[in-house]
Amino acid sequence: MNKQLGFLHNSEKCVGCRGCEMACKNLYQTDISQRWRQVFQIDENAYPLPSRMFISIGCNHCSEPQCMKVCPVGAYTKRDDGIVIHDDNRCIGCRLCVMACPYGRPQFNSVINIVQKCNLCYQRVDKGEKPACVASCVAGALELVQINSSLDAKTGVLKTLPGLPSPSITNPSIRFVGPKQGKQVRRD
Amino acid sequence: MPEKHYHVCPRNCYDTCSIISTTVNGVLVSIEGNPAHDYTKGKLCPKAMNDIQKVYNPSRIRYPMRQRQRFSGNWERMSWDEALDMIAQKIIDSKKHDGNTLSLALNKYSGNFGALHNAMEWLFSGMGPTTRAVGSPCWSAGVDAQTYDFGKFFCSEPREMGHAKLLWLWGVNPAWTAVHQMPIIFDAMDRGSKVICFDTYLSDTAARSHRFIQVKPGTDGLLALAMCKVLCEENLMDDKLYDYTLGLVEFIDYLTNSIDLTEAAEITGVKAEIIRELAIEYGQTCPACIWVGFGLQRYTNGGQTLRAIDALGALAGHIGEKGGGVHYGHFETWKFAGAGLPEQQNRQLNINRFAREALACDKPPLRVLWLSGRNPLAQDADLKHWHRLIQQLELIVINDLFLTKSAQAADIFLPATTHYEHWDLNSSYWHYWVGINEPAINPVGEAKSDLEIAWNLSAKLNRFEKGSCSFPTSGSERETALKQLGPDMLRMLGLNTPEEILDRPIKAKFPPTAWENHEFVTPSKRYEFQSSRALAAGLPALPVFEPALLPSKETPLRLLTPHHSMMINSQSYQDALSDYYDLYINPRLLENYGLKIGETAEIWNEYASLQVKVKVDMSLPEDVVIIYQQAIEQRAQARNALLNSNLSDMGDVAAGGKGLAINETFVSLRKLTPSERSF
Amino acid sequence: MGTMEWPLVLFTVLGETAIGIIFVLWWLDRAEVDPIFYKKAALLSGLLLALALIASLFHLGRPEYAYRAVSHLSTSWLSREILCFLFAAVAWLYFYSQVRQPKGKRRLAAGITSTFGLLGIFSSSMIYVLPRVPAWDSVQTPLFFLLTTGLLGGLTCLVLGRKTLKLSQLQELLLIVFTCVLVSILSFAIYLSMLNTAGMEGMSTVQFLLASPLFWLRVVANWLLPLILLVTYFSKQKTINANLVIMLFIACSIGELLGRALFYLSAVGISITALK
Repeated sequence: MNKQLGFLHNSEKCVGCRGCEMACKNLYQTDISQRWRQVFQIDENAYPLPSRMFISIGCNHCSEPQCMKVCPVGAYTKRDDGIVIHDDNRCIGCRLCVMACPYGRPQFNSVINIVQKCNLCYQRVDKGEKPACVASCVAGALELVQINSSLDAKTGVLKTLPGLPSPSITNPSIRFVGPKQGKQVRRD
Repeated sequence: MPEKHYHVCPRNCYDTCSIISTTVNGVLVSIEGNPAHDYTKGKLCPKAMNDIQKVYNPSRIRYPMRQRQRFSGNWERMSWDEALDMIAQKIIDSKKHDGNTLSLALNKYSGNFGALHNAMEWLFSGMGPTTRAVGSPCWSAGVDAQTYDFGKFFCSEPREMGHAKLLWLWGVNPAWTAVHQMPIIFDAMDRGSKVICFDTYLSDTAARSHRFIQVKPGTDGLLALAMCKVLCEENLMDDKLYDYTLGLVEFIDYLTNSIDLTEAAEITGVKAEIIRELAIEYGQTCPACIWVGFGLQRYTNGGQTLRAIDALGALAGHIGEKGGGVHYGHFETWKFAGAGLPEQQNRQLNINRFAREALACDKPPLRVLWLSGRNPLAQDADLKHWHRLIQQLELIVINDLFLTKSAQAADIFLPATTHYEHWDLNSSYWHYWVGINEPAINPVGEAKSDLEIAWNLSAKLNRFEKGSCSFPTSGSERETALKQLGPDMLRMLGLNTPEEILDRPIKAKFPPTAWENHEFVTPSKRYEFQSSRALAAGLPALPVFEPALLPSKETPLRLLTPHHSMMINSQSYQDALSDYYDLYINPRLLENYGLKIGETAEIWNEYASLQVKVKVDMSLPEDVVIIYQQAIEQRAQARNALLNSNLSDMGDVAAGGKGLAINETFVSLRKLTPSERSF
Repeated sequence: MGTMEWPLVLFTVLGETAIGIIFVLWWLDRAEVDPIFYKKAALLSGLLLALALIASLFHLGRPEYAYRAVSHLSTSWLSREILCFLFAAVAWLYFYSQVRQPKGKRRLAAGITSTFGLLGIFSSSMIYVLPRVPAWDSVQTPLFFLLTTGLLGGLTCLVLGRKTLKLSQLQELLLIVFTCVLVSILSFAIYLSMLNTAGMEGMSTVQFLLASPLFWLRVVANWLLPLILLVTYFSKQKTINANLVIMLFIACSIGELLGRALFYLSAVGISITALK
């Protein structure tokens, strides 16, 4: 694999507005139960001061996708650019991928009885456009990047944040710019 | 083939985004931001991005309906003809009975801020003098304050903030309420600007600032005055102030004689040395910008607070400075042409005390109430008065999209269109853009635009009694929208014909920096520390500190109810509604009251009591609790039952009436026994 | 916490019982076995296998495409499981045809069927050995599935052959059952103590189990009661009481079904932990 597309999430700039989540829903008009992308607020106890920090997580298009490994019908494929695509037509709804993914991203849609997930808007990416979540991020906190050693070598780029499962399970294609905390002159 | 249409998000929100919709075979399939808009830059917030779900939502009301008994939920479908007949008949009967039209009342506000949503007002103006809700629940005190100081209510183009080297975000949480400002702030931070956030609680914006200063609620004005005093002491005042301000000497006298830093530190909760440090930094940094939010003027001293902050900006010489200034809002781009109807001698009731004042109306009492773009039973104070008023009213009509809390009280529900189904024209109270809103799809079900409802009702009234309404009985929505761009607006936008706005949204041709040449429009043409208009309105001429209301022994906790990123007032986009409100408290209060996280507790005051689920916010002080705006099941009790209609100190001059001092709501907290808990 | 996966509980437990029966038949066939018992047991194993396969379909969102499930053998244990079970089902047809013939090669056929079956059960257990789920990601999972096979296979044969099998055969079967129960108890104790140190998710599985009345019911039905009955029996070594066999069968069946249901229910996967 020479390429691996993935996300760079800036937790300093992410204000937790859920714009990325809703952009995805707006484009695909997914069922209410489906949250292919989801914004989580990091537990405050992870930081020395009260915090308001968020992570936006869609499919991480992992280098070692557990979903793809366990799928009995071969519904998952990993493209040369690293995007992990789920073929809804092949899926038989066994939900094993749902059990296998630590990020909860493949989701069973009980209306059509199959699993669905984020395919990184590959049709848009193929046209040179950004995925809907990235394109919609008002604060500029979510980017589509090549995950490689030169990205990992940059200072401030982290492989995980508090509350996320260990990256060793699937080797996810997401990196973070960690939150910073300012001074707080509080009354408490 | 996919078709594209222009829209403007009509929510009561700073950003007022330019939207492009895509329809296929007359069905909306997706929306996106308009990249040609230099403020919203092709990006939309999550509320807008739920619009398609909203337009086609199964719970949206698609037909006119009648409720046999108020609050029964026993709705029956009726035809438009029947509905309008009923309303028109009632109007004619009331008029006959009273000999005038004052018993007819309209309470309209910001459910949809499009210019054609004034159609309901035009309709009522066409009927004669009626009773109207006037003023604003939102920003009145600040609007008047800035009018006293600068002569009119105006602020710099919001992107100018990016030039500031020092940016003070005072009581404003753009991360939640004006998210398109965040990239401007982040870019400034990336270029080395310093951002300081003043607030009563650690907001999302505060958490991302270099420094968060926690101020005791209602004391921001004193904090600003104390900093003014430091500027005087440290000789950091603009040396040209005598050229363009009025009352500087008197103001300095007031600061010298009446403001004491130690006392200010005690009252505001910000240490004297920090006040000094902040003031010096503000005085020494150019450009330095302050953005004041709406929350800090929702106090009985709210107008004075704004005047004090304006004065701080002026004293340091930051007014009229590129990248400086005191930003609050503006309504310069809202000068729509209207319907050309004669001004009526309306009976004007302050929107914030509407029910209270309506109950006091006599000769004639209110008989008919029309609610448009309003949800007072969820959003207003004085809910007990509202329920008394509802009992008195003979007919309540509401036009809306959904069966809101207030619709439960209505007799007739008229289905309204969304901004994807009608023509409109929208301006922002923050940036300078004005845009046309085109219909992209046919109205869903039998929904009608406000303008069409107004025409149809006028036609009915005239059929029943010729000449009973001077508002037109038909017309073209598109033409009416374009007509709103009168000569003033065309000049402002640099257009030759109104039709040019059909091509794209237009930005008003204002200089980007407000008051750049210190050409103020006050009576003295100067920045007025000392305002004769304020004096004439019965207020102190100078910005002064007047204490806000404080918690009492019986109700020791101040209840703040800030906006949430998922809501615009009672408009939400959440799929799952909760049965209860979450109350955020300091962890020590949890101990003091013997409560556990997630436990049901009761808050109450003299107006109501409310059961809530307790959650912890480590940043809250012990005398403040928060319930954010929250989407809640219709059957659940409205949080606003706890609210009394205390008014702010200003609002009568430019805002149409005094504002609501919503942040002066005090409650007591109590642990409940398991049998008392209702959830 | 996981969910109660009834289709999967039935599929795995019934399938394991079926294969267990065939395996026991193969084992007993070293010496002479009562032909009527053998036939009954063989038929029952086929019936259970069919029921199991049908039950598994109810787990799928789109059962009509179940056939596709064998198409990812390279990495998916689920594909391997289905393939092995399908082979086992075909082998069973061959096995039964041999059983019906007086001189059929039933021992060979039973051997083939149980080999496919055991491979299927092993694959079936390996499906759950997921790095995301500490409660499943251990050797305990295949052991648990194989023990069910031995225990319920042995007990079913005991019940069917309680009047016709020789005492030595019955004692042999009881010994298998006793071994399965003992190994089950010991391995579960080790599993629980190790799980309790395997991070937050493992601990919450342990806490869930210890707090669940279903688990304590399983402890009694699957372990305590069989242990008491078997220890009492082995200490006295009298003739085999039919009631003992039936009591053991009922208790262990309930215990194993509960055990499997709890296996799914108590699964806590590693996931994103955040506020709200």
